[in-house]
Amino acid sequence: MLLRESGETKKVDYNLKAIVDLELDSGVENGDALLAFVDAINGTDQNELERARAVVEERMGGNAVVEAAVVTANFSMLDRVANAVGIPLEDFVVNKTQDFWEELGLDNYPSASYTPEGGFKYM
Amino acid sequence: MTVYSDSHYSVRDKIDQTHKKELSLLSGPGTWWTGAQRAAMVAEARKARCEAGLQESIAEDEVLIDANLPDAARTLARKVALMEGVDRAFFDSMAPSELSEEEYVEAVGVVSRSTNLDIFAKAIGVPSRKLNRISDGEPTRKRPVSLANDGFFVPTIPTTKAGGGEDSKKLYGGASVYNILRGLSLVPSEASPVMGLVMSQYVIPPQFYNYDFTFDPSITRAQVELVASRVSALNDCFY
Repeated sequence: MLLRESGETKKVDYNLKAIVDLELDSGVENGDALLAFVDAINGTDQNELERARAVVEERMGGNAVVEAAVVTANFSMLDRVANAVGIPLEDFVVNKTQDFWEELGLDNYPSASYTPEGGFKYM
Repeated sequence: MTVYSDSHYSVRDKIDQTHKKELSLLSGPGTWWTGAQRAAMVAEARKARCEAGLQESIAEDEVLIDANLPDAARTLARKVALMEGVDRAFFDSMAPSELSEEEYVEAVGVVSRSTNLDIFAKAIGVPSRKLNRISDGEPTRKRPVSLANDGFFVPTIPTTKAGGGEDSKKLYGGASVYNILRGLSLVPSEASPVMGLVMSQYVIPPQFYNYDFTFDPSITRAQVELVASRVSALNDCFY
């Protein structure tokens, strides 16, 4: 949701499908390098991680390596919490995202069942 | 001495400060587990990730693994660390038959928070950080009063507007919060550090919908959201 909205404010239409299909161009600057870095962090190939990290550093600088790393770590933590305690999606988020669940295959995730029809009533 | 002084990269002060605090909290007594048990859960999680080739071992693991920890907590630590079959069926197999809901929530928090530290260390090319020396002391075993069964697997503290009372004011500061920050609120001592980490690693609440905001100009908000989205896709996380 926030990736799409961040694009809308800049009048850029990002390709959300690139999140699940790395062959596609997300439209986000240096998106290919960042996605490769995330995958390498989550992988088991140390050489691949070093390569992917070096590409991010070369194109975006050392601070970007730290920022991409810390966001990856942050969502690795939150995803574990969300899946383990069954966090339902809020109603307003459902309204803003439902149109792309099927295309991205999000509604096939087991954790999709944690969200009731129409979403959790947010207060 | 900063936590990441051995890194080739310069790590922001706020990250350094919150991670330093984590290294102490994770090996200290919680609300339902002792410091030794919490440190053992971290060690068990690290061991699982090392065996899976996801990170390299550090010397403390073998020492901490011997603590008095129920088998169910060890299983939980390994599965949550690897994100392996962590779903409703897993929860049902754990609580309340093997672990109380409170013990389950605290264990999820401990493992998720330590995995956060380990993934960051790996990503910037340094070894996992050693936890501080285990602190003695008994768990407080204090359960919040204002809990609701709102569709999460476990009871949570609602927002103040939804009847969360004093517990809500204390934990959320009276504000409305997203469900992700409510998730661990059955054990406020776990929910609170998660909020602190999010606010040092991702975004601070007043800037949530400011798409020009990032903690460092080297990365844009769109790039941050792209990274976040890919991580969640890899973890099959619908939320």
